[in-house]
Amino acid sequence: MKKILFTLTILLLATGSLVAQEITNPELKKFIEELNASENGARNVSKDEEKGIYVINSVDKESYKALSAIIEKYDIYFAEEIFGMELMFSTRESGSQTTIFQGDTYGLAITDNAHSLDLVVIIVKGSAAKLFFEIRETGDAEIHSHEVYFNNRDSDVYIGESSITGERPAELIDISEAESIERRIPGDIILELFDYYMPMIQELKRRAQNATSKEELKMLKASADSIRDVWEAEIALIDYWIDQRVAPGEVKIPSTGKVFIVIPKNAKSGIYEWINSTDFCNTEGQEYNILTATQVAMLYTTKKKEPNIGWNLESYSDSIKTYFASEIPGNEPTYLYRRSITAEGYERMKNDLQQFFYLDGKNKNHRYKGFKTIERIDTNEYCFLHLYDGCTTILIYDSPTGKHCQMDIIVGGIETFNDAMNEISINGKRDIFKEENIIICDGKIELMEGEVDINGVTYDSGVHFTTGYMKKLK
Amino acid sequence: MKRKLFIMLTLMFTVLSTWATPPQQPHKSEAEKFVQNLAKIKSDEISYAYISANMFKQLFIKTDLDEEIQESISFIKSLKSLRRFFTNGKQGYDVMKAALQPLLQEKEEVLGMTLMASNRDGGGMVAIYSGLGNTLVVTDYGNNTTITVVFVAGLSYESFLEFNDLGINFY
Repeated sequence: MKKILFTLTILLLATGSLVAQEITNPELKKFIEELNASENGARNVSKDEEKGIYVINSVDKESYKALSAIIEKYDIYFAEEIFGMELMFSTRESGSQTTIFQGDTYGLAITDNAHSLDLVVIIVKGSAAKLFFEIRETGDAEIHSHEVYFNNRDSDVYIGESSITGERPAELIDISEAESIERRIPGDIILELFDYYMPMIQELKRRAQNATSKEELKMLKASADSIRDVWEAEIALIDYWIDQRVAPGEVKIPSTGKVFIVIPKNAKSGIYEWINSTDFCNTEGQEYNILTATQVAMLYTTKKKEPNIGWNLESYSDSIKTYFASEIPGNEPTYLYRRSITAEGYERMKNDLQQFFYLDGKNKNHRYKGFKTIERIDTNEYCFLHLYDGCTTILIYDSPTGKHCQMDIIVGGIETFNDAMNEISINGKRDIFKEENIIICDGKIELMEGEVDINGVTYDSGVHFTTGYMKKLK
Repeated sequence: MKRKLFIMLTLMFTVLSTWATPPQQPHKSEAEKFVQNLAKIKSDEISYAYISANMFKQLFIKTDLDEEIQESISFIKSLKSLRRFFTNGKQGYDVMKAALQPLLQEKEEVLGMTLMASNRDGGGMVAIYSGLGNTLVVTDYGNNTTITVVFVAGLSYESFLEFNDLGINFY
């Protein structure tokens, strides 16, 4: 806010359009004298008497307190009129308040940030608010932040399509609702919808400006309203889908067909919160995906059509097909992977995951985000971690020399993949994966027959989950 | 004589008292005073905005709104100010909810205003009050975090609805 007022001041100083006169309003003059007389602490004072500008701002705690006391004495923050000036607007947010008065001759702007002990008083000969608008119309980015009063979803008055700039989707839904929805819906989905619908509304708006009759104007407005309704309904629908989810999964955007990965709002495992965090979702330079049982089934179907797969997929029993074709509530073998694809992606991923590498594998009580080390392999080329939190399994493979990092997360109450085989029961029958000899590898299903060697360990059957690196060992 | 002097002195005192009386503040309705006091609640979790009628009109009329809206706004001469409160946290919500008790009870008459419309849904509620040319909208989102109050002084319920028709909503 101080920056805004500073910008305002600089622009005021630059205009040179103000009449060169000293302050003549006696009350205002007295107020300025009191501000000047305050000797506590350090202050910055700047005056341009020729242009009629006076600025004072606090520099330390003492001056902040002294200036605040004068402001309070005049009850400026609650006044609707002072020194013959009308209160134009006042906002208070997160401990910061900005107030602007406008009179025929003078303008007064005050910004007060109690947290940073920053108080700035600007008095101008002329109309502060008028100048404020003139500046705003120049499109100054700083000034745009003032428009939060009117059309930013972060706060305040919601004004439908008639928002001042018409550039933001604030007209979609109420601001507060938007915030709460956004906490559940990934920002990417909101942006996707915005990019899809907003051009349509802008186009209608453009046509409305050139409308030649009231009927045409009404028709265009009705079309814009209709688009907004669809947009809003789609958001509500997506929100509902996400709300219904019990495990991470995909959501397909009806309008655009694009698929997004979403994490349930009330995930049972703390790992979901982390997965859903901004840091985790910043997967630039990385590949990131979640596969649900349904998707696994789809992969299975796809593979079936590949002639050179080498496996007799027809040998799958009906029961496993049934399993893959439907999600079993609470028992979804959801699989998430994240792997670096660039050096930058690798560095970011290493940074995100570093705490897992610090875990003391010998101490079973040593946990990070609830995870303890089940297995750790360190070689000259790579480090492999197998982590478990009582619900979710994480496998991390890090190759500093190859600048490659991969993390795989399998969700469900399983500690090992052999456990998974024992846990999953289909039609009352256990060990079905074992019977089917299935490996999930890099998100793909592959059948194996007989023994398989994974990282030096021989498994004779079962569900084996391998990272990209482990696949090479096979 | 004494009696005459007493009467004269009394009259003079009365006149002087009247002269000495400071100018009266513009009359404010009960609702306006209530909302003014609401603005004195300070919390990091309560955002507050005041917009004067002049500011409001300038903002709208100086922009590229279509003529229909601009004209409608310029016709609303009575508009005085707009205040909005918005809570964004539990503490702010609790403080605001306590202060708003008279309005959250959805009484048919409160603070000199009449309950014009109310709706409860999914734990939240919206109530619109209007009276003496002012309109107030209070919205409790039912999430223990968010309450908004918008008070438009000088805006009748009819004008409020007109704004709504123009796509300008107050939440």
